[in-house]
Amino acid sequence: MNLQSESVVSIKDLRMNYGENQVLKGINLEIQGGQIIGYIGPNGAGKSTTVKILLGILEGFRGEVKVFGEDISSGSIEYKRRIGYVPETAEMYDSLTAQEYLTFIGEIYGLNFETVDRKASRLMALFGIGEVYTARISSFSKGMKQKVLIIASLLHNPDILFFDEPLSGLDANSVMIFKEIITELAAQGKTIFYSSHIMEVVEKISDRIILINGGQIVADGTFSELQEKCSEGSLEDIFNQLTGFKQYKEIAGEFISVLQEG
Amino acid sequence: MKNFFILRLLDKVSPIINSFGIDYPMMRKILQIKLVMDERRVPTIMMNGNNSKAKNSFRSSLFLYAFIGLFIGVFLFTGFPLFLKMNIIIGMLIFMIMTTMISDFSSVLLDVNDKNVLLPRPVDAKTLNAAKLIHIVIYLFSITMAISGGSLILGLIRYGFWFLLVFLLEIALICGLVILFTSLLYYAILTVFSGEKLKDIINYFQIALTVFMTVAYQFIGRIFNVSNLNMKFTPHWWDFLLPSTWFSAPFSLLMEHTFSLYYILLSLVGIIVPIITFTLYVKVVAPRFERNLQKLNSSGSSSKNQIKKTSLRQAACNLICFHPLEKVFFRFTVRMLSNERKLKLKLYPQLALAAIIPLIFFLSFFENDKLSSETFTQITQGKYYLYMYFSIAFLPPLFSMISTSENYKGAWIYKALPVENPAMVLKGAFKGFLYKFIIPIYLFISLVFLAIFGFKIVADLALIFINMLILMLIIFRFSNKELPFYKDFQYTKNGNNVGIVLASMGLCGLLAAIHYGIAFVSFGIAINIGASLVITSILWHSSFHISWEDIAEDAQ
Repeated sequence: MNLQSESVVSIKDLRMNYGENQVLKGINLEIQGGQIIGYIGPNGAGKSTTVKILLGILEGFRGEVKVFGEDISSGSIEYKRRIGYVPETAEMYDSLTAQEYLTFIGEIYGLNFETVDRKASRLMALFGIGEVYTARISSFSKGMKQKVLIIASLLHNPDILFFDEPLSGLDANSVMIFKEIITELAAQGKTIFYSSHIMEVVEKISDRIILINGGQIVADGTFSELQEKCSEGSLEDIFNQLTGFKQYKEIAGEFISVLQEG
Repeated sequence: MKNFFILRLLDKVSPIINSFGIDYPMMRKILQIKLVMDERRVPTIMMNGNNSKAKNSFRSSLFLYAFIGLFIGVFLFTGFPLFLKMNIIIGMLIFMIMTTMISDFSSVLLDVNDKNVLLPRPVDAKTLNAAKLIHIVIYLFSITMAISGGSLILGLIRYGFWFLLVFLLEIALICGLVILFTSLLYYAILTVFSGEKLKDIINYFQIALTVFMTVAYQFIGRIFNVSNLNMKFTPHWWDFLLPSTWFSAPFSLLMEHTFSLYYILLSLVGIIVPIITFTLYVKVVAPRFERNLQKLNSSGSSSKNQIKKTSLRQAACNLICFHPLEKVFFRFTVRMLSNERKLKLKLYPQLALAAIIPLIFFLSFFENDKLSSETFTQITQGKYYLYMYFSIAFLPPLFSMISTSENYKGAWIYKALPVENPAMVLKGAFKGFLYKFIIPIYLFISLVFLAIFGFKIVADLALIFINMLILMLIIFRFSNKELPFYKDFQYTKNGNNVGIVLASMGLCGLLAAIHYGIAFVSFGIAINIGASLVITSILWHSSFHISWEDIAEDAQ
């Protein structure tokens, strides 16, 4: 199977409301395999909503969403076997030990216990937290929990990965390992959906950047394409320009002056 | 990982579970993980310590239930008709199951953490839902068996083997009905509402249902005319509305062979209603429940209740709090108490019960369904306003509940903030609780009593209020000094509070007795008010000498 040319994610006119509030106002997206997609946008722009719809956590959307050519509203859960997900908030069963949690997740994907156990303990060791493999997750620091979540998302060797702020809490060394891992995974033909607020990282690792604002895609292309279009230097500047935000200096100044008031 | 007995039991019936379209091996794994986690409900601070605490508290509450159950069972040996006895036993069962279902297991049913961990993975909604249900069933069934254990054994002795068999069947039916019925109601609410409002509605619904159960239970005995120990029983159409009658009727049919149409119809209702509920659940709710649950995650619009400077609360705060820090914690407590849904769920039914209890006692005067003006004058002329002490006994122990919170992790602020004197925190919290809950309930009951007894009891009401303060202060003084909202709910399981409640009742009885006696002396009430005021002020000034060392630190 040639993942490079297969359209792994196809979204057509995706709309979503929370009550009166329209969160997604017609998203259209075609994603081919083997790419790292930087998915950025201001808070509340609809990034997480899109990802949650793709994962089948959120329902009640309008439009067509296909993953591996399969319509996800058909109720089939098979496509989920090929997806990995690191959520933004570290939600997991943290009264379990890392071993229990990871083997549980692996078994849900249909791997047998011995395989997952062996893989998980080696991955933990490689991330430098091998010695807490049998300790409870609730005693972990934020970065350690994040590593467990990353491992949990990769155990079953998925074809698409959704990373929502995956670096939060990781130390600089682990960040380097992680970036190297996702570059290598993309080279193997896997699709990586990378959502973050840290523009420097997105700028460096993404093959394609999608900027979403107010429930719509406002920019879509490689970093150099965006640079050309906006004639700005860094992704941060492009972000500011496209989201129509310029007055950060004024706001910061006012913030300080409020602090100094009696 | 531990292979639980109950899982091995489930393995035996796995073909049945599979036949519902549920992925049994998957469900078993989820269930196993859930059971492991239940065994470990330990606070993160004491990770290395013993992990048997939580389990023990469930076990000890089971012993408590079994003990209560034994007393209920003894009731089977009385001379009352079987139908009455079974009504009371089954009514009690339904009440206990329903209330624990709502207060302790709703969180399992409405858990959204599950979704984020499991739904991105190949688990279908039906299987997840089944795992949740069976998880709840395991606990509810052990509680039910503990409560009904006494009745089962004593019934076996008194009525023989058939009683045991019918009762076991009925228990299974009741358990299933309660769980599925609650899920149906939640499903309806989840479908209609959304956002923050949904959470509020669920909270109100839970509170209302608990209050309703509490009151409805008081009426089970009233389907009979208990006069002069001569039991007469006449069927009413509204007997069909009390579920306890559905499940009691088969006993009259099968044990006493009373084949009247009334019992046959009731028994049929008792079979048909669970079947309807089950069908509705499988066909409508189970496939969609998880989907709608997602609504609980969506953030709603910002709330409108902004802090206002000129509110009644602000005025009260300025009136009863003196130190600035005390004022801060007064406001903090009042605001927290109005926003903490889980705490409200625990508190409101108790508050409602406190308000209703004297009225229930009054009801017992009106027998044979007729309100005679004779009995009414008999009540108003007597000293029955002292029944208000029944309410007063219920209120003070509730204060200890404000140490719990669902956001207990935010309690680090106590450590981080420059609070020199923890007494100010506790004083503020104490007064906040008084203002938010105790005084409104007191005023409500007072109004009802004034309506019944007239203005001649104003002085008595004042004395009752002061005595209530004495009670609250004494209980506060002798219980652990705990910061408000600092620990998780699971550490306040049943049992710990029983001592305090009993002490409160005893003390309250004493104060009531003094009140009753002194009313015969001229100016007695005035003297009593004076004495009580002095005691209150002494207690107030001596109870708050608290330093950080006195604060109960750990969350065990």
